[in-house]
This record gives sequence, structure tokens and C-alpha cells, in this order.
Amino acid sequence: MGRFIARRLLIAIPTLIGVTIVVFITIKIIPGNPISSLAGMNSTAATRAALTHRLGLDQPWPVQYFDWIKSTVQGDFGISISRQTPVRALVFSALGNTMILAFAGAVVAFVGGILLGLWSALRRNHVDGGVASGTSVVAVAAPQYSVALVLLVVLVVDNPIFPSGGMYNATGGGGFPALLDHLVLPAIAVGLAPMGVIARIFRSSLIDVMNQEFVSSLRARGLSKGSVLRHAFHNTLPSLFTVAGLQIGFLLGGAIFVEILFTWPGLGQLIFQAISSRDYPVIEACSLVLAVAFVLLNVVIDTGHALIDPRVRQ
Amino acid sequence: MTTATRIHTPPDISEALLEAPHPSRFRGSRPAPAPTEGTLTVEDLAVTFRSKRKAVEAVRGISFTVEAGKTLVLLGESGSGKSVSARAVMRLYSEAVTITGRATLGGVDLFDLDERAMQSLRGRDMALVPQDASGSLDPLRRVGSQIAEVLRRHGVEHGRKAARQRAADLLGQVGIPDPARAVRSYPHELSGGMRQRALIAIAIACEPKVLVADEPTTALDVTIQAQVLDLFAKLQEDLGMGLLLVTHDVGVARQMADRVAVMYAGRLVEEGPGTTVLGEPAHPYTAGLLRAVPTPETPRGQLQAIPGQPPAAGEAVDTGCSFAPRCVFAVEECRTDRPDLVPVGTAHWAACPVVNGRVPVEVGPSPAGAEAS
Amino acid sequence: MSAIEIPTGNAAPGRGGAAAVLVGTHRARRHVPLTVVIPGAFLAIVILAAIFAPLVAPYGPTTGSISQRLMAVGSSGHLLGTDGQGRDILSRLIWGARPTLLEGIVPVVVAGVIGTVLGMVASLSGRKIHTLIMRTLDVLYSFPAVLLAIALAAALGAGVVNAIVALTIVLVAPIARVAETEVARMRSADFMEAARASGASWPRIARRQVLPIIAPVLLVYCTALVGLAIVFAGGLSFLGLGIAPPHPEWGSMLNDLDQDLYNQPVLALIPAAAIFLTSVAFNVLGDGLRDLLDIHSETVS
Repeated sequence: MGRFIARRLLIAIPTLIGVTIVVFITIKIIPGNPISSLAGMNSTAATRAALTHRLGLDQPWPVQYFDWIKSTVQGDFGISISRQTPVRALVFSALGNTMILAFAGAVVAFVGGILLGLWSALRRNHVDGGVASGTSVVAVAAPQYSVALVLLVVLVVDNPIFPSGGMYNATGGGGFPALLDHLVLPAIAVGLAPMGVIARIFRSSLIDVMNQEFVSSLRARGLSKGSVLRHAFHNTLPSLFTVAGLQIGFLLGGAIFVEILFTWPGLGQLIFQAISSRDYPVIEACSLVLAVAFVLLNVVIDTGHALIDPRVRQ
Repeated sequence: MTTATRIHTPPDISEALLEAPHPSRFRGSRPAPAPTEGTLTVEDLAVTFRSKRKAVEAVRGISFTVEAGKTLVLLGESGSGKSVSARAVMRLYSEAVTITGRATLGGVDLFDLDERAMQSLRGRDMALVPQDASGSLDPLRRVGSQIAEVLRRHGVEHGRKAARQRAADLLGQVGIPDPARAVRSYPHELSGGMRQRALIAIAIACEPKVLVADEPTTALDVTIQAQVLDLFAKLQEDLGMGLLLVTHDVGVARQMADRVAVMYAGRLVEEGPGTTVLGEPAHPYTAGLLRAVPTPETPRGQLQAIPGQPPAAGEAVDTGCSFAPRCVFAVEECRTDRPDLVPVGTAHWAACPVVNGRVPVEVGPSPAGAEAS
Repeated sequence: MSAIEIPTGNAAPGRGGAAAVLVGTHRARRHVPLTVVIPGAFLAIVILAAIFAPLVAPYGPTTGSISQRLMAVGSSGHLLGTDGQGRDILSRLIWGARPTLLEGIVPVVVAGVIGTVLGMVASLSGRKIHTLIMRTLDVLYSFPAVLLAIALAAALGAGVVNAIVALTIVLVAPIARVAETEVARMRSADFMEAARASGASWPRIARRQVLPIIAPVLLVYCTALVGLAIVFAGGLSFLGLGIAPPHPEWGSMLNDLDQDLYNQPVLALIPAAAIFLTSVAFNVLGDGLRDLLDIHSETVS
């Protein structure tokens, strides 16, 4: 198992390098000259050249890339243009909040998806099973921001059951209960579409497994219905892990929009504000941090997959 | 076990009956043997698969008995209903499949048990060795834990440790070279032959009275096949189990059978002692099966395939004899009157009134004989 | 990678069990399923309305007076009400369909062509080229799709064309991957061997043998992908990376109307519903086309 993790991490390294290259390229294609905005309109050519040299912008791209990587690894993400504070502090506190939201969304997606999928699989010849199945099909296509808006209208504006946004009470307090209260709706909004995907895949995987030869063999061994279902469920886990790997990106991406609508202080909000103020260092840092988190989460998921399924370990 | 005593007393067959030009029908089920510990008796079993469009009668009323310590081979081509019969007896089909008839194991009526009682009987009193060795083990669980699960489920072993030890013993018993290692293996780490042995170990874990083996060697190499068959014979001797062996392979039947029941299109066409049925068949279909199998004596080029194709499951015409369309002996009556099993010898029945208990040795090449392979 | 697979799910066709095997499947004569007809009709209406927006829309997209702001749904003269600046929402919805549909459809078409070619080249040419293409695409694949679209669009700057470019780049990798898998699936088929043995070059094999077979699979996949692209396009426009205000686009309308959520909560739901319904329609259409074309592909089904 240790070898599997080591190998998986090794594979992640070129991916991470690729990710940094893509982010670096997006920096380079940003229109406008950073020097003129930094040095001011009426700066002399000499000061500009000096500044260009000091920032290393006269170096070839590969050199610039390595310099950028070096400072990034050391935690230097630059200074936010609009706030004039180091980007690092902004990004990492936001990253934590986004992870909380994405995790809660994942809980909604998996618990809801498994229940919905189980229902539609076990009752697939009945009306209610069909309804469950249809629900998951519709949920799959529901944009997370549309869901967020519906929840806002129904459960915040029309019936003020849940708080409208933020993470804690207006005074900034409230602790864990307040956090949960603020988390419910955004988590549902983030998790609903992945829930539909998981329900569909869990349903087809469970039906597939139940039709496999070994299930009938388990019954022939005299195992009870519950035991057989436990074996079957166990055998759906590999496909659930596969889909988890695919859905993490959707959870993180969806969180960006949901955060804006629910004023959740995460990376999505930060990106939104940065876009409107053209705060490029912040956009880059957010992209980089989210992409790296995505790659690392996939390592974790693959490890879990390998723990479940001995066949993947080789 | 009363291996020497014939429980299945042959009915008294008079010479007159045998020589009668139109043998009277042998109606109804044969006299049921006295319920004996370990005997599986199946009477008039019929299995119907229903879908929205139609109903398929895969098995149309068959009866057989598996005695303790003996082997009954259910022989037939694919689609004849042999596997379905075996699985239906173990009640492995869902409620969507209609099963009628009677099956008793040591006097217990299997079709009368509630599902819970049936569950605890499966794997304990009657166990299955499935056909597909690679697909029949849970791929995500170690072999040892799957054996231990059965042992604990049926109360053979209680402790976790004891069950694991017993699992290793069982794997040794079925001839797996390094049982301590196999216990810790996942199914995909074992070869096909080893997987089949592991499945046999699971099946014999609770020393069942009857073992149902559904084409247990079909997927294996010939050498492994022989080893597995030897293993069955040895285990049967050691444990005194009855064995219901489902196969399409005449060679396997020859090697294993005490008795053979030949199935065609959901019905038994012949049943009798292995040597008799496979030596002097009393039904044209059995004779055809045998002629299609090479033996050292078969002259080159003399192998004959049965002309035509067996009907797809449930497609058989149910008036007359299902085999009639392919039968060189068929007369008009075969297409209108369904033949019943009639006694043709000592504990030997066949469902063909035309050949009269003995398929003539000289069978001229049939019109479609050119297909012979 | 993340969301790209979403619209298609991964519904492996369940095996029918013993009964189905015994019965055999007698296929009924093939009708055009309702899952094609209904979304097809809906999308035809949406697309026609967008094309003929000047004729269909009751008002101009940017005309409105502040005195008529935030009128409710069903007000006389404003069927779907007005927004915070008194502009007719129905008209903005119709006009806004133009950039939204463009950003949903064009990237899929362009990425469909590029991705199919890349996938076929990767699969049919040598090993080195295969590794080069697929590893490069893997890097794009290792971003959450939405995030990559946002990062690219933000770097390129707001605007419909830039949004289309960003979405195209995002969609190339998944389409290429599906194409590559489909070609790999048939690579060992006999007729391919025959074509190779007869000395046909791989571009010729690709055009004559491969493309006709993988085309339906990709068509189904891309149809469903348009649903996702519309959601992404809505997202970009929601973030202000779409068409420049005051011109309407569904995503930015959603953001505008969200400002007045407490005065007229229902209004904000209109563009949200438009994006949702259009996206569902493309998804269902994809499912329906799959049934119609009788495709049993693991990558798409």
C-alpha cells in the first residue's frame, strides 16, 4: 500500500508541473503591460527598464517560470493589486472556507446520491423508483448557481428559515452551530448536481453488481439477504471512488458560484472580486491553489480506491 | 450411509411390457423413494421464466433422485434446462420465476420452507459449486474471509481465528498447495483451477448432504479438469455427499456418473445407470450425443453430429416429442403424442416408444449426416 | 476530470439476468423516442427565438425606463416583468439567448473537431505522438473544468469571443479522450487489420473506416456536452466574463436580478430557469439520441 501511495504521488508530480505551467501561461497572456501599471503613466523609459530588469521580466520565459515557481513554493504569491496586502494570507484563509463548503457539498452529494440511487435501483420497476431515477437525471443538469438561487428564494427570502449568507452570525460569532446553520443551503446547492451523478452511477453499478455471478453464488452459500447486499454494496465502492474523483472538480468549481450568491468567504468570492477589480495576482493564486488542491485530493481518492479494491493496487 | 442398498427400487417390468408394440404410458411420477437422510428427491419440477412479452418454460416437469454418496449426472446441451433445474432446486431464482413441483432433501420439503429457513439450509445441507470460477468469488474479499464467512454463518465455527484456521484446512483439503497463503489471497491472485478449488472449499465447508456442481470444469484446462473431477470423487468418498453434477460433457459424465439423467428441451428423455445409459442408450438423442463424442474406438471420419439444432430454451414445440424434428427414427406419432418415460431395463427409463428400449446399432447416415464433424 | 463527464453519467447497461437471456431481446420497430422529440422541439423554439430576436422580442434588449423598474411577472406589457433598470425581462431573455447559445454551441463544435482529430491522431499514429498528445491533454484535464474556464477567460478578458475561446480549450481534452478511447476500442478489429494490411495510410483509415464509426458516439457526447457548456457559459457571464453590459446574457441577468432578490425574488429565477431548462434539454436530447442511434458505448453511455 505504501508503494502504491508513493507511486501515485510520483505520477502527480508531472501533473502538478503541468498545472503550474498552465497557470504561468495565463499570467503571460493577460493583456496590458504590468510595468506601465506599476511604474505609473509618466515614468521615464529608464525607470521602466530598471523595473523590468528588477522584476526579471527581461529574462527568457523559462527563467521567469522557474523564478515564479521558486517564489510560489516559498509561499510568495505576490501583492494584491486592489487590497495592497500579500495574496498568500487572503488565499489560504479563503481556501479553508472553500474546503469546508466543498466537503459539506460532498457529504450531501454522497449521502443523497447513494440513498437516491439505492431507492431507484431497488424499486426500479415501480413508480416511485422511476421518480427517484428521474430526479437524479434532472439534478445532474441543474447548474449549481440556479439551485442556489432557488434555495435563496424559497428558504431565505420567502420563508426566512435559513440565513441569507456569510459563514457565521452577523457579529462574526456563533461558533459551530451557526456555521452549520449557514452551511446547509450552500452545501445543498453545491452538492445537488453531483448527487444526481452519484445516484445514477450508484444505481447502474448496484444493478450491475447484483446481476454478477458472484451474488448468486453468495446466495447459494446461504448468506442472508442483508449480507448479500453488504457484499454488493462493497463492490459498488470502486465505481463510487471513480466518480468521486470526477466530481471533486465539479464540487470545487460549483463552490465558486455558490459562494458568491451566499456571500461565503471562500475562493469563489475572492475570484469574483478579483475579476471585477482586475486583480490578476489574486486570480492566479486562487487558480493555482484550487488546481493543486484538486490534484492532491485526487491522490487521496485514488488511495482510498486502492484500499478498497485490491485489483487497483498493482 | 447406505451406499450398498438400492433405495431406488426398480419397478417390476414384465417382459410383456417391454415387448408390447405400443408400450402403455408410464403416467404420473414414479414411486417416490422413502425419505432418507441425505437424499435429494425432485418430482415434476417445472421452471417458467416470465417477462412482459412471454413465458418461457425452461424446465417442463422432470423428476430425479440424488442418493447419498452417489453421483447423478444431469446431461444435456446448453439450453436443455439442466443448470436451471439445479438452481431452481436450490431456489436461487427470484419470485419472478415460477417454480412448481416438489423437491425434498432428507425428507424436508424445500419448496415449503420460508426464505429464512431456506437461506440457512443453502450452503449447509446443500451447496453449489458454480460454473464460472472467476466470477463467482467476491473480487474484493480475501478467499479465506469468504470461507470463514460461510463457516460462521452456518455455525460451524464461531471464533474469527478458528474460522480462519478451518478455512486454511479446507483449502488444503481441496488440494491447494500453499493454503496459508491462499487464505490471504484475493481471487484475482489465484489461477482458474485454484479459484475453482476455493469455490469447492466454500461448498464443502459445512459438509453438505448434497453438492450441486453446475458445469464445474467447463472453464478449466483438460488437465486441471481431471484433477478437479478426481477431487470431487475423493471428497464424495470422504464426506459421503450426494453429488448432482450438471454437465454437457459426455466424458465427464462417463467418469463420474453412478446414474445419468439426459435432458432435452426441458424434459428428461432418458435416465438410468451411468454405464447402461452411456453404453447402451435407449433414446435416439442419447445415442446421438454419444456418437458425437470421439472415443479411442471411433474410426476416423465416423464421428456424427446430431442433425439440426436443439430448440432454443422454451421454443420447443410441445406437442409430441421435442426431439422428433431431429430424429432419424421419428414416425408420425412422434409429432403428435408426447412420449413419457417408460421402463426399458433395470432402473432405466427412456421416453421413446419407437426404438423400443434399444437404439439400433446400425444407424444409417441421416440426411443431414454430411454435417458430421 | 471534474464536471465534463457529468451530462452523460456512466450508466452501464445492466445485464438482463437469466430471464432476459433466455427470452432474448426482440427489438420493437424503432420509433423516434420522446426524449428526442420533446427537447428537440423546445430547443428549436429557443434557437429560433434567438435568431429572430429583433422580430420576436417585444422591446429592445437595453431599452427601459427607471420608472418602470422591478415590475412583477405578468404585468401588462411586461410578461416576465422588468429588471432593476426597468428593462423588459422577456426581451432581454430572448436577446440574451444569442450570446448564451453561441457560447454553449460554438465551443463544443470547434472543440469537437479539434478533439476528434487529436483523438484519432493519438490513437492511430505512433506511440510517441500518442504519449505526447494524451499527456498534454492530461494537464488540462487535471484542472477543475469550471476553474480552467474562469482562469482562461479572466486572463483573456471579458467578452463573448474570449469566453468561446476559453470554453473551447476546456472542452478539447474530454472530447479527445472520448475519441481516443473509441478508436482504441476498434483498433484491433478485423476490418482495421485488413485496411492496414492493404496498405492504406492512417489518415485514410481514419477518414474512411474510423470516423464513420465513432461519429455517432461523439455526436451523442457532444450534444450532452452543449448542456454543460451552457451552464459554464452562464457561469462565466455570471462572473462578468461574458458580453459587456448593458447587453444581456442569461448569466449576467441572473447576477443583476440577484441584486434585487428581496424586492422581486421570482425575477431572478427566470434566467436561472432558462439556463437550467436549456441545459436539461441538451442532456435529455443526448440520452435520446443515444437510444435512437442505439449506441452502447462505455465512454458515453
